[in-house]
Amino acid sequence: MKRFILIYFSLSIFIPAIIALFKFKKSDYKDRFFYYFIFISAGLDILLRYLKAVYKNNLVVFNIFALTDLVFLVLAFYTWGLFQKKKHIVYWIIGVFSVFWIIEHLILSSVLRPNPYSRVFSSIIITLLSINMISKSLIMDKQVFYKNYKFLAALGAFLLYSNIAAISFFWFNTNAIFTGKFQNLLNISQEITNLCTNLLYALALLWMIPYRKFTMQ
Amino acid sequence: MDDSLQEVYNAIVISLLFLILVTIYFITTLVRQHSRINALQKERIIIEINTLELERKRIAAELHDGLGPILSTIKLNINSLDTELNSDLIIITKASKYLDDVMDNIREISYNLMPVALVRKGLCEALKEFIEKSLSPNGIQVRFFFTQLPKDLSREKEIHIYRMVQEIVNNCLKHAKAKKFSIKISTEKGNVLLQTEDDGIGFNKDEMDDKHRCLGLKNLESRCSILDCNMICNSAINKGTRYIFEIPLKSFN
Repeated sequence: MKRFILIYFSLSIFIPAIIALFKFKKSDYKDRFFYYFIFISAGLDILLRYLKAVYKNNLVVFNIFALTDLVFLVLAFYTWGLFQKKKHIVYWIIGVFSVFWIIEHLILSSVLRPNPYSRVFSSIIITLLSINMISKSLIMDKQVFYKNYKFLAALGAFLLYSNIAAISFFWFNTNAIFTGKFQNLLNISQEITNLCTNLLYALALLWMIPYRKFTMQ
Repeated sequence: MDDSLQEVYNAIVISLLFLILVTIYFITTLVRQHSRINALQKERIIIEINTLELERKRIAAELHDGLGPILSTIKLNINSLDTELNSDLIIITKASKYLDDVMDNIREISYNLMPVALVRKGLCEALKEFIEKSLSPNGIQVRFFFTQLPKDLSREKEIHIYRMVQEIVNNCLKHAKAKKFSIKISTEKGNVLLQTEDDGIGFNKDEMDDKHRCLGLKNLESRCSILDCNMICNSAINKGTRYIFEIPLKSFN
């Protein structure tokens, strides 16, 4: 029973993905990166399940996730005004992380093996940026926080990636050896966080304002 | 201790540490964003007030240089009319007097918009001229205590100080019902100290919330935020009103 519930939880990325599909055509260009992020996450999720079923190894998708998540979330935060038009910060973050990712996945190790450092690195960056985004939207935006899509999206990202970062810390602390009981506990916590994040993403997408053309008529 | 329990214990400790770090970072970002919004607000006020001053200057120039000479020409033309009829002479004299009044009014409006004395004679003389002109005809006894002001006081800042005093004097005239008014400007410990006092009916500061706060007081606060100065306002019913402004000199450099 528990297993089934967890499977349903993990499928929750399709809730925001379906909303995004309906709203994408009329979306504002400022929100496009967040839409791409949702589409890519859903696409990679499908690929993840397919590879697991066919090849029994889906680590390549997990590794790609670390890169796409960071790139698209940083770009989404940038278009939402987090860096105050300082484009060079975005280039630096994406550039440095991409170099780090390539070194870890293509030089030091393989893209088919588990590479936790990139994941931790990207999770920490996303956590810090989402905290910044949360405080910015709380103070700068005049909307109520539960209707503020930037706040909701940043809160979702914060929940998920801070959880991943925290779990990675346990992982390093215990030299990656967990007892079965503890591993289950971590899995459950991650799936619940995943569900909450996806619901927050869905809510954020619902509150997103459609693009309005300037017209004199 | 059981392995699983030990792991949970470690996890809790690490999570707590993580949570503390995240909370500290969150508070830091909140404070940073707050100070950013304050800076933006201040910038907005500066732009608004500078635009206002520029517009005042433009209107004053238009009135003085545009309308003034036209009215003078009209007056000259009217006075040069040659008539022997007594009734016409009376009309001409009346028209000439009205024109004089209009010119005086325009001069006064122009002066209030951009005081010439401030440009020609400096802040203290301009203030003296303005206060005497506004309060003395209304029977208010005025006392001045002016000391030498620093020479590097910029024109822009002088205008801000002048406007602040203008606001206080207007409030005194409109609401205070005062008999005496005194003003002191001095330089002390790296600050320009501006103090004003009247013996009017005063007001209860605690009862004035944001909604009821008059525009004059808000203008004073806006200009204070531009000058980075402290404003102290002491007032009580029937005990007069006293303002003290500590304007840091370094902001003038």
